[in-house]
Amino acid sequence: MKLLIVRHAIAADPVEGQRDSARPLTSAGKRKFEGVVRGLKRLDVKLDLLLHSPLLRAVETADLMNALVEGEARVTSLLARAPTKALIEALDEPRVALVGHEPYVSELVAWLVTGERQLARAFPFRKGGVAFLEGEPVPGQMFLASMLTPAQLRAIGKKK
Amino acid sequence: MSRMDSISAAAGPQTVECAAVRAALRAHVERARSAEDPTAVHGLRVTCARLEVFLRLARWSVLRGDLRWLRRAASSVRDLDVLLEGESAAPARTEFVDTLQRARESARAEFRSTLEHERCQALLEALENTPQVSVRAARPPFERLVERVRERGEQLTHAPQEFERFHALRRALRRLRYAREWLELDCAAIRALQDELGALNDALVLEAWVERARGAPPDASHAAASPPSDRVQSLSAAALRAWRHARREILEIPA
Repeated sequence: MKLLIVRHAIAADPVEGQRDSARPLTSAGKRKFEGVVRGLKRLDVKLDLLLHSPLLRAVETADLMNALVEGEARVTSLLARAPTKALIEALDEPRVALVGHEPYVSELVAWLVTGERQLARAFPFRKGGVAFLEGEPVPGQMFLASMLTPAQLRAIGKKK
Repeated sequence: MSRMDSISAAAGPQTVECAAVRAALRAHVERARSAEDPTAVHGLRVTCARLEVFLRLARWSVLRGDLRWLRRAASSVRDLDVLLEGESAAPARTEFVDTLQRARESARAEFRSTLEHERCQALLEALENTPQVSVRAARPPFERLVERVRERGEQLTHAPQEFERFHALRRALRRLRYAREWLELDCAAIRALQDELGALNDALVLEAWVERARGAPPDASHAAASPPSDRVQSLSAAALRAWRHARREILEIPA
């Protein structure tokens, strides 16, 4: 399978009294991530399944990725916590993207690629960054094809 | 004056928010989890549909599929509840009622598992942060819903013998009605047409279940082996007349 792991785009700083789950993307965060999506389109990314966390910043990031979705989008609390087997079992389509949060997205990449979650620091994500994995969704058995920053993806998506 | 009517006259932005419906959905989920409560199942189905339309007006593509997923599970139970309410009064058909009750138990088990699924909880959590909808920004998605009703109506007019087309119009009308409700527009014409289409749909669902009880394949559609009954033909003719009568008013877009 082809698996994209995405960290949510740039979100607003916490405001006093606001739940962390209610932090929206900033205007700049949205604009920049639209450029990321253009880059993904240029790379011909198409998705059968888009899973995203229920936190607003991930919901809004997933919404911006809708143009890539040919199947369905699903919300899951499995992306708002450390990765589990249940999350891996949910990867039941050939082309899947996950939109989640640090440190969990790094931990997931480390787990799937090396089999060791504690290597998460070796796979840091920028906000709006994307890791491209391939292979069977089994810990330690996926191949990390590339890990692109949002700036790289925006550059890919720029018109000539 | 409705919200749509007031757009051009408004000095500032006008918005719609869904907190009350969101809270109602949460309450329906809690009640449906804790007890056999047909009103909670019905309420859950309606609030999911209303929120799905709200998200359309908000131009959100996400969470709508999750709402449809939850609604589908409730609909399977609700449709059988409605059939059983009608059929329980007919003692001569107890075998058929038994078939419906068994199907309902199965649908209820699936519904319970849907309510306990982490996706359901995640959906409720995500809905807590839905944005307010600007009435002005809601106009394009509103117009698309009107256009969809127009298309479905034309398709029905061209082939009224195909019952799926009544169903397609019914679904498009439901969305338009909820959109009009969110925007505080009058819905009387849509409601009257929905009553006609609803009566036809109930008759078709009942006849499909009767076919199934007789041993027809479980996926037998409305256009199944048997020719439509007199009742279905009469109801479909009435629904088509009602559409022709209400069409202009329903498709009108406020200035």
